[in-house]
Amino acid sequence: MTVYGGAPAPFDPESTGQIPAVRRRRRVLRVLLTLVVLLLLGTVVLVEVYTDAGFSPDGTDPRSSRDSAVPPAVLNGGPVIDFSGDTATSARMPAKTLALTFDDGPDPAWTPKILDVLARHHVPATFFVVGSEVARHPELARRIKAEGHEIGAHTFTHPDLASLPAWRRDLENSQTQLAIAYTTGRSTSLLRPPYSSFADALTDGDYATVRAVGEQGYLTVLDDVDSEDWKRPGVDAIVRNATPPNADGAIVLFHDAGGDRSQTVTALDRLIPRLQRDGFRFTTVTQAMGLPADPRAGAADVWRGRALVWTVRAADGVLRLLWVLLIVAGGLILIRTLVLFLFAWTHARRRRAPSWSWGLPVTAPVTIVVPAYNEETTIAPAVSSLARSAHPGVKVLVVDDASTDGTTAAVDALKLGNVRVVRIPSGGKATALNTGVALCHDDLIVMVDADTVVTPDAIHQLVQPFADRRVGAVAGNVKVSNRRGLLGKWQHIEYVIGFNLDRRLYDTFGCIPTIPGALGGFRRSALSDAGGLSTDTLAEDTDLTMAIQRAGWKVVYQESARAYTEAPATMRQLWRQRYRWSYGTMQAMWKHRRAVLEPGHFGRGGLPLIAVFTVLLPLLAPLIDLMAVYGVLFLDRQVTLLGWLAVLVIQILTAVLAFRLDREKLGPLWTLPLQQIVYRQLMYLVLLSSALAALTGRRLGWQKIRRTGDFSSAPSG
Amino acid sequence: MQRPPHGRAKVGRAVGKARLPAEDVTSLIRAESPEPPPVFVDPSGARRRRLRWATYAAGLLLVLVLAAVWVSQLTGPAAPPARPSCSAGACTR
Repeated sequence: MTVYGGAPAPFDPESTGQIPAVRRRRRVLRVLLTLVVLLLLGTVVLVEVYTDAGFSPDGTDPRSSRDSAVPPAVLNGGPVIDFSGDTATSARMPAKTLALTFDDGPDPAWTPKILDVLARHHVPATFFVVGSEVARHPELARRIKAEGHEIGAHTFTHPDLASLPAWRRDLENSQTQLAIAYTTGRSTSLLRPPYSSFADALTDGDYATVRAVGEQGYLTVLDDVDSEDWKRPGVDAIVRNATPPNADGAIVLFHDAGGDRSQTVTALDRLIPRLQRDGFRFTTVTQAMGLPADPRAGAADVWRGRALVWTVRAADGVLRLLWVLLIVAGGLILIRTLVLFLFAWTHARRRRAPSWSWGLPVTAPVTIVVPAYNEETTIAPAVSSLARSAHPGVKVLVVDDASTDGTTAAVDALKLGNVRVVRIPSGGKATALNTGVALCHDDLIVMVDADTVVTPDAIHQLVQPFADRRVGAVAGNVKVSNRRGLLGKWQHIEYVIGFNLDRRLYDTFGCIPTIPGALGGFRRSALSDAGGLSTDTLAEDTDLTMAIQRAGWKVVYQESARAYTEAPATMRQLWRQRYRWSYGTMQAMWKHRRAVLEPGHFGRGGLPLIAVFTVLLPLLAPLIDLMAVYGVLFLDRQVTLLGWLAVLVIQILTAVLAFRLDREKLGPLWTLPLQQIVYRQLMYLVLLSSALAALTGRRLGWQKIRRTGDFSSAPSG
Repeated sequence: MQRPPHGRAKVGRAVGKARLPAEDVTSLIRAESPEPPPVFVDPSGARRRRLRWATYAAGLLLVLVLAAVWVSQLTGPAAPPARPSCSAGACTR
């Protein structure tokens, strides 16, 4: 269909894009822009992967237990370890003094509830925050600080520090410091390594970490009473665990994030008043240690923190947007598939019913107009199949659009009585067709491409719907004739789905977007109402179909009128053909955009439907592949693969239905999974670049396809 | 001995006769139709130029922002604040 060429586009003297130096410079700039976009995406992916790196709550990590390198003074010492002097110094809480500590927050669900409980009992606490969560919930960090609590660092992404290289460990701590600096304006010297517990549980690896961060100036804060609330053992158990065994002071460990913390909230509400009654005093870690309160953060740290927080939030935003778009695309695909199934099925059943008829048989004479430009190899089989059509009084008019090969001679050599050739000066396919229409005087006109072979009864079948006076044009059923290679099979599948399901659906809704140039029937009055074919779009067939429908005529699909067309045999030709189609379809839709405001079926319902399903949805579809790659690399691999397979299954089911409805053999469907990996992406790129060409207003030339004359799948005879 | 064939010669006004192409017998048909301008095509190139510069500007801005982010995160770790040492007696009871 419409793989018609014509003279190349005229040289555009006003474009600077032809100057070699300008071209080179622009190519470099384009490459640079692509790199920038890749850098942006890379940053987003890196930030997302970094900040979501397999978070598991404290205490769920199996550890080795070698502690031969840990000094006994530290193993048997208190939970606060300092390295600012010459040796490690451990410290304990003063007697009857408690520091409540909360790890892993801030969490939007549970941190506010815990803060409420603490405020009710007028108790200060220390929150060891995860930096990436601070970046995501800065208001919670500010609230913690504003209500008189203390903030300590618990790394940026909650990894096991002992298993990280030094640079990564420093990055974690530095970024947490920056996030706290920007959100609260303060710095902190407290650090609690993730998965840490009591001082006597320190392993060699832990001790090396504690030592390294201690030498940088951090005060490591472990704990000596563990509420074990991360196990969710019940409120009573948490209260029991968190009560100090004697009158000694203690640092008590709780969690305000990492899952449902309702038990922690309830337990605190019960525990605090009881301990207050027992004479315990509550304080923060620095106060208990007699250290000065956290100093203000430096201006540079605040700025660096701002950059960090906004980067995390922007990356989150980009990823969230992509997910939303993916869900929209997935939803649309699902709806479309269901609608396709339902309506295509009903359409086929209605047409096959014995009671179905368009009206009285149409036997009026028909002229077949065949525009041709350098079609030497294919014109002879095409014209002879047309001339032998089983319809009374069929005439063939070949319009030779200034071919430079032996097109005319090839037709003349056939010596068929009902075939006429006229030659016109080069003017493009639309002009050739208009000339052909002007030169014949039948009321019914069929347009067929010069690379298309029809079945003997195709023309007769195609004109039957004209029994209905309201029908202005009929779309035929076009199939791929050269199905040998993979590319041919893929296009065959695409044609069968496109012509069977999509066109049946559009037919049901009365909004067929395109009568294929390869096989279409027209009533002369519909053509004149539409003003003939126009030259202002590259998809003159789509443009004409829309114009006919806007003029109030019905356009229908006749699946029994079959034509076999030669599809592009190389990637390059396919690219060019599809580029023209998608650019031309966009042109036609834009040209007829005012139809939306006009009364009538087509503008109100059809055009928006076509726009959503042929432009918007295919533009969103690449997200499925992109997110599948992202998911396989960084998210739950199994779920991602299942999702991707589900999409494939939907496509296979759609294809099977289409093949059954068209009575095609299911054989070529084995290439469908392969189609997902090469062909689909090629189609995205075509759509994307033609959308860009439309946006920038570039002039596209006509492109000629190289013919091989392979009609192997067309019925012979 | 032959001399090379060059030199000058003066000739009068040469007149030839041929049939005009318009009088030729032909199967060519001339189609005259006013062509509307193609949809989307911007012959002046102004839209393209504007879009190109807007893209370059956005790209430059993006580069600056991304560079700022990367530099801000990779210019050395942010250190914790200075505080009295525990071994000097600050932390002990």
